[in-house]
Amino acid sequence: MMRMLLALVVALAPTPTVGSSVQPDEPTVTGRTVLDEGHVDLGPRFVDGAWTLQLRDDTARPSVWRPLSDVVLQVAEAARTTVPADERFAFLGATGAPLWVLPQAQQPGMLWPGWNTQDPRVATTVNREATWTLHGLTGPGHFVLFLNGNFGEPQVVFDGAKPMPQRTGVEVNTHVHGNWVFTAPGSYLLDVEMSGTTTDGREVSDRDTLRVFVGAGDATAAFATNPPTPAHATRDVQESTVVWPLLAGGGAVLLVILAGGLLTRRRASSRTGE
Amino acid sequence: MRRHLSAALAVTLLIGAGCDRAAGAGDGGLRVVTTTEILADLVRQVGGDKVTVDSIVPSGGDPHSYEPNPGDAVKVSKADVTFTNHLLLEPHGLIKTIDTNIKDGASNVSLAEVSESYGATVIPLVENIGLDVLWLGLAVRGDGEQRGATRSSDILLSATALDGPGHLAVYLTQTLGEPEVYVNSADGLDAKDSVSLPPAAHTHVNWAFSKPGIYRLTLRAALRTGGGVSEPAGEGTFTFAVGVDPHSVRSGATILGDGHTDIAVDLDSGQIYAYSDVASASGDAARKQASLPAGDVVIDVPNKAIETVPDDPRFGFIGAPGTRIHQLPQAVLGKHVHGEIDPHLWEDVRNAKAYAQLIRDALVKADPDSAATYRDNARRYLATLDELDEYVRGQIGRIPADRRQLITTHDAFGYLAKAYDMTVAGFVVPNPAQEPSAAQVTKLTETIRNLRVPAVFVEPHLANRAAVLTQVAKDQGVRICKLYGDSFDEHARSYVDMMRHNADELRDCLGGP
Repeated sequence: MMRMLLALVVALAPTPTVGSSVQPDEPTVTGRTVLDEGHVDLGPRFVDGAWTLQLRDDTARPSVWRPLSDVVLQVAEAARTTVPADERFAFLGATGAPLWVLPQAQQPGMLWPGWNTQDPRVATTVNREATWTLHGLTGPGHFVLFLNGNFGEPQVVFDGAKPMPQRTGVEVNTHVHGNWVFTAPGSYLLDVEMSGTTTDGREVSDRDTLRVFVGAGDATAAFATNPPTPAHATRDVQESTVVWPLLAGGGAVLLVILAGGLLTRRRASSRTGE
Repeated sequence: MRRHLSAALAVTLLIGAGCDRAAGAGDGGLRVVTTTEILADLVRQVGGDKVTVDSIVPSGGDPHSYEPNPGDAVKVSKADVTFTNHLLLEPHGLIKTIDTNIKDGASNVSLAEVSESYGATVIPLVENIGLDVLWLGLAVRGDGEQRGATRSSDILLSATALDGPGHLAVYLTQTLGEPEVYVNSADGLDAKDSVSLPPAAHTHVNWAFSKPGIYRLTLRAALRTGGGVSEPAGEGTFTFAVGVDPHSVRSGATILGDGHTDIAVDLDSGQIYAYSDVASASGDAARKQASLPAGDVVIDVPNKAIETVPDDPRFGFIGAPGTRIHQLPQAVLGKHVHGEIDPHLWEDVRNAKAYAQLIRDALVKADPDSAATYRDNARRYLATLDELDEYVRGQIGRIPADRRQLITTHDAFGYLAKAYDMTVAGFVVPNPAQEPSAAQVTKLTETIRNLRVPAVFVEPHLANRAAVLTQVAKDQGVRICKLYGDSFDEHARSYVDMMRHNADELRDCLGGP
């Protein structure tokens, strides 16, 4: 299990509009889309009061948020490289083996995916940090997400070859980019969850499937690939069972215990064999 | 909201407590066991003569390394209420002794974990102090339409002058370990010492300095809109305090010491400025980035950021292998341990107030007949803690800002630093159960030398483990003073004594009018 906490950072989303930090009223847009260039972030936001994991599409003007089920992130063929002769990177494969890398620093013509907790309501009402969990993945190759520390030392966030689930912390109101590495072309489905605790003690979480298509082929193929279990159903259940605490003046707080949380756990355990 | 929730939490914690109060309330009143003597003192202040309090870790003992014995299990089994700090302050064996021996119906309160709902502020545990530094990037802001900028324009950011005791290299290490050098002053500054940024760029780079001291770096931006057209887009000179106290550079400047800052080219205003969240000032989760003129900021590159140049020819542009440099890193992943909190909350007196309120509610629940006494005692004690908080703040406030540097035996003073505006410049090891490495000792020596601190601080219960720090201090001719961290000694027998001592000692040893 990963036990690292991501950078204490507050970054500005790199859009050309002035004051382009995440705005409270950014719309959710639906409709299937393949994104293969420019800046996107995975992140939680409150949609109609419900904590929802979405993809912030910063290639649109102004920026919009999309449900994960509507998006395929395409890793262009230009991202292809090979494993270097450097023992620090041996965890990516044998020297010379092919890799597709979306780097942590922006490269023209490539997708630049990051993750943020900058939705204004997330930034102000969630306690300290969100937890980002990778429950599992399917795909034709290996997936690793890492950052480069001092002198390039890889600092791994997720390693698809290691036991699941894997967790990392994302401080609230932060924005981070990492290196997304894949070892074979084709469709990858990442079963991801972001969760947190609000300052008034509520547990919030959402879990969904992030689709990535690696290489020059038809990226819409990733839409046709079925997740190992219907992850989206979990989210619907959670949304519909969230009980928001009601405060009568001086009255008791109704603490939120979610059926969705139980369901999530059950699904996680059913997947450990895969 | 918070109060309602805390009540709910306390109820959860205290389920069943009080039902066999008669047994515990016999001759000795309510029987309470705590892990440390600091917690025992807080319970005595609130419980008064209605409680009998025992600490498992003996006076002067180190809670981080305490090994429980069979007598402790007996103590726990007789308790009506137990208080632990938790959050990894106590070793697992001690927590387990309590959890397995506590009698049915007694309550078991983890103070640090629940105190947040009583208004305590907590800070994440720092895993790698070398990453607990400013994250300094480069950005382009504004669309620059009135200057003719388009999506295909680029912005050339050039280093035109550097004034300082050593060299500066600004570079990005690519995904697979290959450095890309943008600026390197070792061979002089010329047209090569530039980076081309697209509009709306945002990137993070390494800033490596070869020697400690004050540096002034002048950056100039030009907007290139195609066809060889280049237009000035701003100039600014940024000051870096490398290994030296940033307060000493210029009074009134904003110190950029943690959080996230970009050196930003603003195409609309034609300026280069620091676009910073100035985290140290607010400590606020919802802080926003703001523009600060280059001349108004000092960028802190502390001794925590000392690194050794690796034996890899690709990094030879920074210095020979083994050279010690100061470097702000391009990524700060791994700074904190996910989900773990620094356990030493009481070094901020306001957190001790939260503990006292939580203790009050736990005692009232366990022994409702004495509720009025507990509430009266707590009210008086909270007033005492308010005075104590003012006192500590006042004493530390009299230390000149550039001398508020803490160098200690272990990492127990993060809360003190945060609450009373000091800087944790270094410590021997994060946890006293660890032995320092040669690299940690070297870094500590350089920290003391570079900062010219007047004193270092040893915790009395760790005096026999402070050989490294005392030796380094003697070599550097620096005073060795005493700060209480996790426990008391014969001179400080209460929490209030301990914190008053800490405040007086800091002022005395670090200096002040």
